Amino acid sequence: MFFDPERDSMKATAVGVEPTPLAPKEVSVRQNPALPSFCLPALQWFMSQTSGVTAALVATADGFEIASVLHQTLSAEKMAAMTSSILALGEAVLAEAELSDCQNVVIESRNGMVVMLAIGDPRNELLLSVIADRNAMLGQVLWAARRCCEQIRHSVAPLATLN
Amino acid sequence: MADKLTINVWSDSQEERSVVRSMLSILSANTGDEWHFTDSPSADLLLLGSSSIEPQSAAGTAHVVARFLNAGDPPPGGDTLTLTRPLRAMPFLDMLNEAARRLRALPAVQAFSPTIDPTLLNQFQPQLTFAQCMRDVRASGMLRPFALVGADGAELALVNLARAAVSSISGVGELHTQLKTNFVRFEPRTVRDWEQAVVQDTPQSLDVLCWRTGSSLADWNGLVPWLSKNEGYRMIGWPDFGSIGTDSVGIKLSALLVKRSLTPLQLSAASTVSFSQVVSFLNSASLCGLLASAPPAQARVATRLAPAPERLSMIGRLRQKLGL
Amino acid sequence: MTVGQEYKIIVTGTMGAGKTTAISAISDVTVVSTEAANSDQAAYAKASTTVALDYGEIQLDGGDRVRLYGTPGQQRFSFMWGILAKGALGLILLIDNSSPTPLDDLGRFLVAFNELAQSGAVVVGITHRDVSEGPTMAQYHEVLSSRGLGLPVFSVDGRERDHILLMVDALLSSIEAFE
Repeated sequence: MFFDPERDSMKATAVGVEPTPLAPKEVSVRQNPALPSFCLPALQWFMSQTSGVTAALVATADGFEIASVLHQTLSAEKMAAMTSSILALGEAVLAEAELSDCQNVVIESRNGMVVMLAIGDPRNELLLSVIADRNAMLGQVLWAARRCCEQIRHSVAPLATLN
Repeated sequence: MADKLTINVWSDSQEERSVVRSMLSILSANTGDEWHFTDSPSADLLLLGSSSIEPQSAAGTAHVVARFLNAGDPPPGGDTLTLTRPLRAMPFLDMLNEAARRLRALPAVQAFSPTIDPTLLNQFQPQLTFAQCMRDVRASGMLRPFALVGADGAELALVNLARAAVSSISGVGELHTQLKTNFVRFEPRTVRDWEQAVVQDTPQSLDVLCWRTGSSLADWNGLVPWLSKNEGYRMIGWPDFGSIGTDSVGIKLSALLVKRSLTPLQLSAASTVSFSQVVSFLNSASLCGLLASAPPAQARVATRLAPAPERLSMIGRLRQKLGL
Repeated sequence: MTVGQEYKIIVTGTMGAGKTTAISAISDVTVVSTEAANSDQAAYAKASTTVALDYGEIQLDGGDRVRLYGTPGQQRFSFMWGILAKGALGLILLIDNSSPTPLDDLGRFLVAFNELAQSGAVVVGITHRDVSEGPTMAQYHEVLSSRGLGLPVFSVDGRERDHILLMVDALLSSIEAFE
């Protein structure tokens, strides 16, 4: 199933939640209670679409978990922090190489992979982290992960404009 | 005579703080003392909501601690004062009076006077007597503030030993100079006095005053009388060179003396620092309350035991690079 | 020439204590930092925070160098602490005196960097210290002595190069004096 922004955007009403208007500037993105519900459907869609994916997580740029689908033996808090560190290091390495705008970092191992992406929403700077086993194919994971990012960007956009 | 006493309340409930405050203003006249509300954690009496952990900045500097309890809570044990909610006038009054009694019973709140040897009058006597009084005060464990009062009765400064701070109109530099010519008495004061003083005269580091005095006394007569060049000493903590000022010699000596006990001569040999500089350092450290007597280590003393030579050489190059 | 051993000094401590600034003060190269936008401005007023590391260098003759690594301060990045501190010469630990629990913070970091602390290769700098508020120096000393650690503790201003140099001096002296 291809993701169609028109058809598949998670509208708040479809999920049964009214969009929460953001309070004045002091309320941090992370504390907006609606944010997880805007992200979870995208994560669940992604996982159902892509073979081999065993976990997915959305984090803030400074390493807090927003939403996650993962096995309980894994720590979402730790993965969120690590995702933040790795992508920040990626950005630093790119700067050293006179390149810019880190898009993703791929960590491949013998029995699986971890892919970390910058979701690219302009306001919140959210990150996506994906864990996959040996059945996954990197190309497919990246493609679906990018669609997932697009979906999250669309869902989260209404929140951003209120800020 | 009525004491001026201070009370602070640490509670999660703003309302509770307000209730205590208004009750205090009504009841204070019924106690034998003058109670004042304060936001400072170094209050005479600290009243804690039962859910609060003893606030870090208060531990050790509040003199009496009392706890709020809800009906049915187990008592905290020991002789901690308690107040059960809801707050009632009579139990509160009783608690205030008991707290005041305990405060008055705290050890050694007394005046310290210098013993002046009239045959030895010279420019260092006043500083020496100040140093002796500091030593006595530290030994007595008296934590409450005290004033330095000159021979003419003028109050030169207020000292808060618990915070290692001194408050004076013209600052520690000037105070150090004044102590060269003024014999001072140490007189007890209250926390309230301290709080009022620091509003006008910003408190400064007491260690700075002690360090400079130790150094002056070394210039005059070497080791202060209670230190001996044949006894072993150890440091129980590092001086705060951030406040006192960078002192490369002091750092070198502290690094050695914190790990082992040495006599002044051994320290000089081990560090290759001159004996006169060692004397100045030991005086200052003693005045800051950082020196303890300890039998000197026997063997392996005079030589510096060093980590791997490559490491030392790299450290040396790093020092050179940074100008240390 | 012996195969070089890597010499590195780590700077760690509570968020907002001044770690990144401290490294910049003594680094010969522009500091590489890995900052991200602070998503919790209600808790911490800083606009950004270190999420991986800061990297600086002090360059010596002959191409040798002392590497400087700053760690993130928050507990959720504690996995970085072990990675960065491995094989370190010494540690500069900065504690923000104005935080709600500075004594606990000191205790936590001493546990996290226990090996370096036990070998006396740690210097503690207390930043934002005002003599009238927060814990006393005596209380910080108590945290150390209750663990049998005689580490240097200084009141410092994290922006003053002289204070950073003071801490480095004390750190080097402690390492030299260790037996």
